[in-house]
Amino acid sequence: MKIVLLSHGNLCVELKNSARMILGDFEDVAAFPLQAGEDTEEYGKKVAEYVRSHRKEGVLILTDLLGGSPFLLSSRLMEGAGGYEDGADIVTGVNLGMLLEVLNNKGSCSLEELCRIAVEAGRGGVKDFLEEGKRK
Amino acid sequence: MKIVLARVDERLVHGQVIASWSRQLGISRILLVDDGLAEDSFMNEVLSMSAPAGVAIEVLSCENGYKRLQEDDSGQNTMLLFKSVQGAYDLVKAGYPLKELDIGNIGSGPGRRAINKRLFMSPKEIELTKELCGMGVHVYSQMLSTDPKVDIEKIL
Repeated sequence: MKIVLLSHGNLCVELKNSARMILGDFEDVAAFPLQAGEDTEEYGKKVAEYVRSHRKEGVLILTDLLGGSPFLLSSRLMEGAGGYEDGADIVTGVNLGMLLEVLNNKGSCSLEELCRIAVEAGRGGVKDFLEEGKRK
Repeated sequence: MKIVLARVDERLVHGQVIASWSRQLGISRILLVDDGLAEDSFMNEVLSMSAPAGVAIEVLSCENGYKRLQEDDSGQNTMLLFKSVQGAYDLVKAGYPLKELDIGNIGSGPGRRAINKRLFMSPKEIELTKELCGMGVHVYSQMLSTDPKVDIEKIL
């Protein structure tokens, strides 16, 4: 299973670096930053090429922003896709918590499971400290 | 529907910009008028997925967009969105009385030169913009609601 990180600028690169600080070294994660002024068509082709060549192993794309250019460009790769069996999916709104859980689980579950884990982990770590305190 | 903002944004419904405008102007609908995108049913689905909470997105061709604009009297606060200057031009040519147009974001590309940090336009796009001004449309450039509105003729 390959993890593809897409973002505006170097967020994806730095997410990978931060994850390394916590988990140590890992493989199978490719980061594709979309830089300001970069040709979006070329960027789209780069990502498509990578996904195409690794789809058989399963590819989970994590993008920074729903509706952003990296997301819209990668969504093309899902056109005509039947479902999880086609080997790829996209989860938006990647954060460090999401990435860590994905990396911890990717060797031991299906793509569908991994997507569920990604969404839960991405949302689950978002808490308001004062709000949590009130619940006592 | 009530058009509260008409905007050219090549990046369409990317989060921050659309979300901030939606909140600012109480937008509940985005009408994206573009012949190419109207035919692209897959991208239609993707764009609907990308809408901020509480905002519906409709993608229509120029012809259908014009019809919709004429027929709809729901009074819903709507953002009229174009992917390109051509899209806005075609709608105005079709007869839609556009009063104001924000050219908010056009990226670099072959044949385009930089107008400012967020606007790159080809000679043809500049020409169409000038024609729009000539047709009585107040064309300006404003990225976020907190930015000043700059008359496009001042920066072309």
